[in-house]
Amino acid sequence: MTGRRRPGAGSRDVSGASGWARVAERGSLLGLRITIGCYRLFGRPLSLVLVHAIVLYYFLALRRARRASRAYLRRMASQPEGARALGRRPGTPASFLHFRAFALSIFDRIVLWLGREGDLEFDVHGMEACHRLLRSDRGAIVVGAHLGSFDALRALAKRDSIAVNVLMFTRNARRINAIMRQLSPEAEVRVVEAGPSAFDTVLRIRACIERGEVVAMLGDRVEPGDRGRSCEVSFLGAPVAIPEAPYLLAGLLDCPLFFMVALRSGAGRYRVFAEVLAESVELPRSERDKRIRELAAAYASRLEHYCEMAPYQWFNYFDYWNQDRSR
Amino acid sequence: MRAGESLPVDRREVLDEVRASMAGLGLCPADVPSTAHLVDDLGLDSLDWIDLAMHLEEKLSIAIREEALASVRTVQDVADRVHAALAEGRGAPA
Repeated sequence: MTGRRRPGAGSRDVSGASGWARVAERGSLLGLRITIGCYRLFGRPLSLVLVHAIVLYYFLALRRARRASRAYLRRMASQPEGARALGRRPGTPASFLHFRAFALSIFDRIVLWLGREGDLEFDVHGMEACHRLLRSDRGAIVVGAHLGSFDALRALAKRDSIAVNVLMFTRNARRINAIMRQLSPEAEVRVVEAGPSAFDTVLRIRACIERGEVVAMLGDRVEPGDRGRSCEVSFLGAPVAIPEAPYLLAGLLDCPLFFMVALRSGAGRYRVFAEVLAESVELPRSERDKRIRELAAAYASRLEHYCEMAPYQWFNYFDYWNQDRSR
Repeated sequence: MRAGESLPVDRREVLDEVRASMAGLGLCPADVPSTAHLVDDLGLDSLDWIDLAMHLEEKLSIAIREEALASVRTVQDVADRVHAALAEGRGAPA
């Protein structure tokens, strides 16, 4: 008897935490708790002062993340559009701004989870085209990235009365999510947990789509649970592996595929961009790999475009272009 | 099923149909014993598995119950669920 092996399968660590997971898990809990307490006690302006102090601490303490940040910024600076958007050399000050952007994103995430959406402003582009493709018996897959705020999707869902389910690799986010649940225990948090060999995960996704709901997932990192389900695309001038799952799911479940990203444009302000990557995804078995590569390349191209619009809001603080080596 | 083709009736035929459908996942049907574990022995992941289930549903015009799908572990389990769904479609007890 022979099992099937995909190229690359087995080379990825599916049991240990990823490089990013190690960074995210390291001590973020305390900083988050302090920020939440401060926000509740003193409001936004004073809390922001504290956020900067916390950012400085993490910036000094997380050497690997700092190195990864600088490597990313150098790559961004090598792109004409990216260099313009950075507005400075990819040195230590730029790297600090990169860390600061992440802290501000987490800060706004807390605001959202405290139910204070009114404190934030969303300027939404392109949602109409997506709405037109949603049906009561067939939802959509939304693919996002660790760029800007993925949580803005929740505010958008509330505004537009769309049922949104977020597929999460919860082992990475468990600690942050525990806090979020404490903040907003009454909120209907619809998280679909993803994990290795989770057959029922796919069934739950299928059920969501058949109810006309949206299933959102991040498409820029190959998580341990993806087990070799990745394809190579060009991103910021170099090849990188991204997960196939969003494209394969959209094809198998016969639903539209959207791209969405929310970029912070100022204090408490976000520009949300929604695009239709595919109105429907047909994946005949004979052309499946080719079609998935095309969709993944289209995603990477749009991601690159938005990343160049907001280069400091790219929240992957590990050696993104050499993920296997950084894990 | 194509016009002229008949639906599998007994468990053996259903098992053969399941095995044949696995060719689309890059597996050789002749190398797939009924006792093979989908994950541990065949290296399938959840996306392969939903692909297989939906392919069988479409090909045989059946609907496999979600609760039945969730407990599937081996090739024989898949065949059993398909057999039950076919029997339900005919109005007979599984």
